[in-house]
Amino acid sequence: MSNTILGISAFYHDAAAALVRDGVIVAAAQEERFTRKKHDPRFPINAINYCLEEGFVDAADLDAVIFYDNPLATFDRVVENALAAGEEGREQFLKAAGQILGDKVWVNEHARRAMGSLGREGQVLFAEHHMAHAASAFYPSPFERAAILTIDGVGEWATTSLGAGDGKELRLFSEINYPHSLGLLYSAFTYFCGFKVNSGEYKLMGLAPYGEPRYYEAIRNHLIDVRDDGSYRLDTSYFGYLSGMVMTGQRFADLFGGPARVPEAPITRREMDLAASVQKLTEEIMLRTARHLRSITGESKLVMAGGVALNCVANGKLVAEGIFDEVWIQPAAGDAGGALGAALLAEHVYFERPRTVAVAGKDAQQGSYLGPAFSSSEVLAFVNRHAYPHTQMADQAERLALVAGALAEGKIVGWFSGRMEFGPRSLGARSILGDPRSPTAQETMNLKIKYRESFRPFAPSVLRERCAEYFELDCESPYMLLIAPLREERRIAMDRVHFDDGDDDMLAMINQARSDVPAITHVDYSARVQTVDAETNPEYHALIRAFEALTGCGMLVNTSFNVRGEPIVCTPEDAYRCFVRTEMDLLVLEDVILWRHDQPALIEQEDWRKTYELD
Amino acid sequence: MSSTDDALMAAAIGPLFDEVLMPMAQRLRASGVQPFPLEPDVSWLSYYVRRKRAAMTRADFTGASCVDVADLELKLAAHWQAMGRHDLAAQVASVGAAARAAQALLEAEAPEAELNPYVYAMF
Repeated sequence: MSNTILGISAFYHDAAAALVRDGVIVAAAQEERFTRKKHDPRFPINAINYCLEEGFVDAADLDAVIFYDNPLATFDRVVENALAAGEEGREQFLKAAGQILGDKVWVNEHARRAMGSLGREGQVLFAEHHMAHAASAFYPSPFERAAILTIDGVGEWATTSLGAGDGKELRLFSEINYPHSLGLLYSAFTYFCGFKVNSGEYKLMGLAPYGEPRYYEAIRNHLIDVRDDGSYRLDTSYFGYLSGMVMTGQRFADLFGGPARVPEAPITRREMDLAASVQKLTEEIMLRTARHLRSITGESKLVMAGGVALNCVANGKLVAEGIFDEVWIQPAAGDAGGALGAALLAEHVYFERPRTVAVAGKDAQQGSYLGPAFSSSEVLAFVNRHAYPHTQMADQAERLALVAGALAEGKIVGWFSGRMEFGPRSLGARSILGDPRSPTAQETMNLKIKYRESFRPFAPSVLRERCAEYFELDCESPYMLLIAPLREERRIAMDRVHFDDGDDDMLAMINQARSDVPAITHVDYSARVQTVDAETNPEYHALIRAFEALTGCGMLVNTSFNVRGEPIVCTPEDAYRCFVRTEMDLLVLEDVILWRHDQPALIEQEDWRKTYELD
Repeated sequence: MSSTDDALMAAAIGPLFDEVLMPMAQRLRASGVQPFPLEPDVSWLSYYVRRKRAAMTRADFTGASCVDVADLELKLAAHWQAMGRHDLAAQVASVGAAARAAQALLEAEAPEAELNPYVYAMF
């Protein structure tokens, strides 16, 4: 008998829905992609509708609907926090309790309004937050059994959880609880360095290679005590989130020589060094925790999820250390993945249905291509409706040769192909592509596409079979969750004299040639690698092969298909809008080709640069 | 929410904070009880806390499913009783009153899509 389960995450950040049938992921998508509001936290009506459509299922026929979090346990934390914070925490409590009691606890009502039914169970089920993360990491992994590590800002109470999975059994046996949180610590530094919380953590991680960990000792001596087993506890007197609406307090500012950086103000050496320091600490905690987890579980495989598992620099170090033989990380490691994990948890724990691990070491994430796709007919209907000049090139070889040729000439290509990715990374379904060999590609893509000047390089998609020629990485990295060093023979020495003498101009550093693939090489010669194999994404693999045939280079620059501040595009319309708002040269919508120079001038009612906040 | 709405929400939730939780906080402080540790304690070899249960039971999946305020009060009381927080369990009627008032306020309002970009969304 078939079992179809809908999982939902909402209300904090990155609302999402996921549909699982008999343990197989049918669909998953973040709400932001439909509403065009980045990190949209609202109940994911649109993502739910997509999942039900993709699964050809009515809500009434769902065997269960499950939410990824326990709002009563979260309310308990809010209450205990108020008891701890006292009168100082009044404003925070009024806001938090109002939102939970007035809105977030009524998930049944939200679901009923969205779908008209709560499925066969007649009520929404509720997972525990870290259990949902753990399930999202373990069940789609290629492992029959594994150690489990989940680390985030906070769920209901847990901020770090340790466990193990075996078949369909999933256990979490120890944890660290709020307010002691590695995720909140990292977010505190993100805020203090002037970046947005929940989206700026990546920038802090990317800033770290410019700095030295000068503040590491100060952090260890004052902010956090780390034990040998990786467990930790914060000195909460330095932080503002217990009683207020900011992450850090005055003691934090005093410790680091002044107030937080104002967003968009020039980044100074202090922020670079703070980034390096907290990154070093994060890696240390994760490595100690991994060693402890290996020793207490005896497992040789590790799976990870939770927002901190998106720290791909730490992930890369973890893999390189070889503490575990293999590591698998849920691509949607943040709260969006909780929807998927909750659905899988219901399947294997609530319904106690068996788990089938894919053969030949393959995971069950399907490349994380779990969102909507659009057929050639739908694309043609769109472009014809608006009379956008285009050419349909149904012959794959011909089409890919044209696109590869454009890339080899230094053109920037918007690539829209197949099912949309689930998770924060573009993986060759909704990607903007460029030539990694070009010394100007990075600057061009930054200024003409992302409209930003960035201290961060772009990331590469490399043919799996050629990865070892470019990177010191001897495992797959299909989800762009691992940082790896570029091979030494490809590196070019940089002129660091001015920078090391105190000139804070990072752009002067990042704009230097650092390797024979400069667009994807960071200042420390690292890259955030996606390995592409023919089985998981044949079209994308074939494109990179076509580029390789022309140039000898087996990789492309891959950046997310969006303008700065907007979510990754979902539909052909989103893609076209982004295409004409930027200076991309070529748009490929499935087998339909559109050249920028042929397109009519874009007439918009709004100044889109004001629509999307800088992130 | 607008400042008027903030004032209305404060009126809805304020009694729970002022009349229930703050006196409770004072009693806890007077007894030397802290809701949770606020700083390191170097006498601890490890800060990991052993979970009471390693796996979710079938009942765990439905324990937070609330259809109305009465249901919320019942389930919250059960939750707190299970945690040994009988003092909080005894106050669920106050929580229920706050929930009714907050629900009425938020029902008329479209939820916000914008997150505060400077603080981690944790409640």
